[in-house]
Amino acid sequence: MQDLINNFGINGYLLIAQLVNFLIVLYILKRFAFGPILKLLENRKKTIAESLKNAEETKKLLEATEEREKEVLKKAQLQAQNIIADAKKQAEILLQDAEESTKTRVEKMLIEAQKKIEEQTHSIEQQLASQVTRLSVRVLEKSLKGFFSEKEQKEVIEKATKQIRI
Amino acid sequence: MAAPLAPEILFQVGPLPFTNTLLHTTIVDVLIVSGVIILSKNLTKTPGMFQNAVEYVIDGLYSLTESISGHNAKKIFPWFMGFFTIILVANITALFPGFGTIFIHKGEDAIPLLRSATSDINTTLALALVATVATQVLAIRAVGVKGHIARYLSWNPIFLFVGILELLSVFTNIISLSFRLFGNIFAGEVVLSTISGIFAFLLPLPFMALEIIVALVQALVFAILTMGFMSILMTAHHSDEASPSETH
Repeated sequence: MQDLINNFGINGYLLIAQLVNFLIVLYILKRFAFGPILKLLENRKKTIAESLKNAEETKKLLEATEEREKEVLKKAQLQAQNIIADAKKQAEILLQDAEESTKTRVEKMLIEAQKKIEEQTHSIEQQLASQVTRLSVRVLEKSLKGFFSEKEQKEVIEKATKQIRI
Repeated sequence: MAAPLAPEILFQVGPLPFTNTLLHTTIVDVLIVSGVIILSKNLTKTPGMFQNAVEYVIDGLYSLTESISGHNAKKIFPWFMGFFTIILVANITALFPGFGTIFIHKGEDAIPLLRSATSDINTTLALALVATVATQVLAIRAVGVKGHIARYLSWNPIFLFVGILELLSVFTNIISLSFRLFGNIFAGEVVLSTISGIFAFLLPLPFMALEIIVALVQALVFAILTMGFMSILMTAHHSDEASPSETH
């Protein structure tokens, strides 16, 4: 056994020195290299997982928003169509009303105009009749001068005017 | 020139013989600590090249740990990664030029200034001791003293026999872990120096490539075996008092 130890050069102090060396380096490695790096790796993994999750949530939110947008647009379109249809109907009604009212007004105006024309023709006729009477009386006066006495003349004229007037 | 199994003593510091392997250990430690300082000072959310590479390795090995040891991964990982890093850096730097080729004169004989830390049984034995003690401590913390002892002692003669074997395996693990690492790296050094002795140009290159693979594999083997022991001992023994927290 002693021979073996001597042959291999096993030395207690050397052994302890190597042991202490190793433990110091191991501690330094663990404290300043493996620990922080494993922590860093785990943090990175977490960050990546979180980012992926966030991205998925955002995507979902976006999809939901898009769907809502589509719905709102559809509703708006429907409403717009309804409004347009209503407006068309109202416009038609208004147009019909206006047509009717103008018709009646025009008719009224026509009737009034006819009345006025009639009145005017009537008055003109009267005027014309009186003028004709006067003219014929004058013609008679001029033509009868000389043939009758003044008294007879007056009688004839009166008769004639009466006949003409009738 | 055949290298002796024991490391060569450069000078004596009190009772501590400062060997060429201890010098290499110091270099490895300084390298790792400066790497850690550079890394922790520049640790940002948006990693650069160095941080990215470290993150890639740590992330990959952490998921490996998680796939083997489940919910115990958080406690086991620093040990696993620590063993892996330190052994890997020691193994790889030992392949750099200057190792076993620069000699200093001490008295009448010339001794190499640098020698791989892991080709010294003191180093590998220290690592194996740390691994075993840490495994036992983690196991007791995880399943309790009673649960841990129940693994080795039982009234059932069959389980008692298995328990004794397991207890024996704790000590054989120390030996197997330390001698596996020591043997592989020491053998590699001997091969390289022998081949270099035959013809120093181009001829050692394939062996060098082989040694790079050995360096990586041995670091991984040591770390994964330790992780395996830890994860086995940290899960409760399948006895009548098996804790329900084991299901996963």
